[in-house]
Amino acid sequence: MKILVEENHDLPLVRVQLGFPSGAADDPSEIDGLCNFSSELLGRGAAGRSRADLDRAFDALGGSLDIITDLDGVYFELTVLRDKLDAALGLISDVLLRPDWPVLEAEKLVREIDGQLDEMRDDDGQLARRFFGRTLYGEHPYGRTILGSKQTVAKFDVAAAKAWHERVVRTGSLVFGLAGDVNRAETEALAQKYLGAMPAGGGPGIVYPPTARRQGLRVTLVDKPERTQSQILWGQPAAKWGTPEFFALQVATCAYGGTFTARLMNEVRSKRGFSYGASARVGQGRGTKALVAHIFPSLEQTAEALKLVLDLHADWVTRGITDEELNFAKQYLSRSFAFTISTPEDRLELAMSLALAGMPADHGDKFTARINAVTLEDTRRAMAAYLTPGDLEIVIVCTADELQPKLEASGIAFSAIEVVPYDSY
Amino acid sequence: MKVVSEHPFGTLVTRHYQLENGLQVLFTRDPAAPVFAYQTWFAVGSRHEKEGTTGIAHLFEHLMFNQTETHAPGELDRLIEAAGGDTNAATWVDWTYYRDNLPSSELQLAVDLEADRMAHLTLGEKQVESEREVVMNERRFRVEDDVDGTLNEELYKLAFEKHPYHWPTIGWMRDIKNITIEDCRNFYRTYYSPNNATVVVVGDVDEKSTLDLIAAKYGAIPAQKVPAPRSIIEPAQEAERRAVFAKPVAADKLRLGYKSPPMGHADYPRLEVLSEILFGGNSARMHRRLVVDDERCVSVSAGLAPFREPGLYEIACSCKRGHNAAEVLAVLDEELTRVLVAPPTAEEVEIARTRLLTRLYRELRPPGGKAEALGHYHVTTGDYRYLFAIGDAYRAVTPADVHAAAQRLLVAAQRTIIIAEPDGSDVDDAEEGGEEE
Repeated sequence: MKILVEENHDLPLVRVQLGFPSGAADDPSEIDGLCNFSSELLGRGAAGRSRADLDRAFDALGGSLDIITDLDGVYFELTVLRDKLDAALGLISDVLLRPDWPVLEAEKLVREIDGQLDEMRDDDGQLARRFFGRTLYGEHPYGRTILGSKQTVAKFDVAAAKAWHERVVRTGSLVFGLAGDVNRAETEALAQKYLGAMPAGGGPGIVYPPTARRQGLRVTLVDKPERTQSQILWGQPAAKWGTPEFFALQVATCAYGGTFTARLMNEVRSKRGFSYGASARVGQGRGTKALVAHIFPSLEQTAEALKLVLDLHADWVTRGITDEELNFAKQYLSRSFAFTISTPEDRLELAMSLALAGMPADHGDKFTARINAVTLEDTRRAMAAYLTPGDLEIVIVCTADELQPKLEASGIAFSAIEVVPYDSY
Repeated sequence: MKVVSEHPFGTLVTRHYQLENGLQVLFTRDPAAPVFAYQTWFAVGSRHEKEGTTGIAHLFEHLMFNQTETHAPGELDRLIEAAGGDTNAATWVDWTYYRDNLPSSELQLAVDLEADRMAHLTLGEKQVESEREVVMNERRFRVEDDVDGTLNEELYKLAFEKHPYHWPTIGWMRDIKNITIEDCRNFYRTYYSPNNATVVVVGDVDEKSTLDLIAAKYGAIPAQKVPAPRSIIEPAQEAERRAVFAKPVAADKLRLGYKSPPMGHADYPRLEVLSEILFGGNSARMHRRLVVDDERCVSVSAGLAPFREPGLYEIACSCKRGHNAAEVLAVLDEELTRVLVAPPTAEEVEIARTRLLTRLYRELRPPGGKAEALGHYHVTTGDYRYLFAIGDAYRAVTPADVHAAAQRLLVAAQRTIIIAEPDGSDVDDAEEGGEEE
């Protein structure tokens, strides 16, 4: 077990975080969504307490236990007043170590997730991200989803959840952290008291295969009725977090779409008013993630806006960034880092994400120096190695029969345009 | 600069100052991290607008990031980002506020920029047209293409007939299109004056240096005559109002609004406790009944509008496929009747109280959270010290208080209901209805 402590006694509060480095990307492809289902089921009955008993007990402590699955890990989080900490850890210990696996609750949870899939479709931004993950990563583990799909929820059951629990909830994988009104000695004693009985074994998490790189300018139109606006995501696989190429790409991407005055925001929003937001970032995780950019113009301006950003993208990749942009991006990234660690909760969150991604614990300490060491040549080399403007996945949530003719007449050399119904996945 | 009042803020102290030109300053030194939050709250929001130019407070907020007599377009953002900070703004019904988060070494920069745009903003046609497009796109994003945004807008539109809470803060699309540059200039001259603003500073910066800088930079900005908000009393609602819309959803979505008291009213914390008991956590009555036991809803939530004048107690429910608004309404009515008939248990009130206090402390952790709470309470209730009375108010609430407040709130004739029904575009829906091919 790895223990993290961020001590601060200003407020009588403690943030509790437990993490395991096995998330949705670690799910079997035929049971996409299993991690989310299994971890949620832990809280639906444990140590002889029903779901209602557990809910009432957590609520009485001042907050609900948040169980959060992402692609790289699963987290159990709660904030409580200091005098409720012991009781809270007792409950979390029951949930993690003594689940009752109630069958009726498992069946109910299947229906609940099915409903969440329906509700997710009401949010065009979420829809775009879901389809983008599938088209960009394909069969790679990062192509999995958190909730699963209408097809895989039917496969969720207690046996699958028990197998997940047996595999994942192990002391060798656990990262246990407290932030706030506690000290290290207390934290270590509490970890032993409440989590010492967790089975041994487990490890640092899966090793991801390389991300496949597809060729061409491929467009997926996620067809939804009555859209007045298009949610557009575009990108391609980039460098792995923590590598020298990642830092170089992070600086270059900051100049492209990482701030309010970066190229994308300046050209798309400030000069033309095409979109409320315009941004780009390089994903951080245990495996190699992607460079992803995002705008959401009106239906009428979509083709023009897309042409603009693809031209900007090609110009950025082929000509690189300027000296002035380099210096500005380095200055912004290094100076703004203080805000990611300004509270004990922030510092715990960073330490937890580093631990679960297999990143060195001193990443934060060295971040500023590594960013400041990036040269213009580093950015050019990294962009040449990872980015090819003619090979982009593009996902657009829109009303397809209105947008498709405009895209086809836009003069953009798409290699493929596929239309999929918004409720097909 | 005179001290108006001071109040302990946990282990810290908040002091309230006022300049001769009327500018108010709330200062709290918080040395927890080498950063600070600098916020400027103007007592103007969409409540101060008129039909025809709705949305001007929000559009103007966008324009405030543009250019001044001494800073070129985009330079304000650029200078703050170069310092490693971030800046943004928000507009709601009662206020507009601008926030900067910066490293402690950049105090001078924040004071210079904020004082400059309070007095020396310049507006050109090009910037207004560009921001108009941006705001229209923001409206499409938040309202036209967002079913939840549409329902929220329709709820207030139907619930309020006379009061400006009738229109959305982002404004009607037709008004956004028609606002002129002269409207914007008049708006700036009318409302962006020191005597209509409160500067809130929280963080690891020295108090005397901060006050000296503020006095030097803002002291010469003249006060203006700010018109008192029009006193518009919403006529008492005498019957339930209801509207239904067809949307691309898998199942019905529902919004209810009960006319509710303003922030600062004695019933407000009692109703927050009531709302926690009904909707606040996984063991809350409505969540338990509608999401867990009956499985009629995917999600339920509720909250009181934190407004200066009477607003709405808003309830939101998303039905599960195969269930509908009528059956959810029947359950809501049953549960709401329960709280009218009998007070909640002492245990329920205690759980709600603990949840509310924990949330309050969490929100107050970062300097920006402290500054936002101080600014919001000061501008909305008229006194930042209301923030410090809330904890005691929660602690004082009894089951009988909750019961009595519920009876004043949950008046059937004063509720408004908005429903979004499936428009038939959903594939799974068609398959279940046997309409394939």
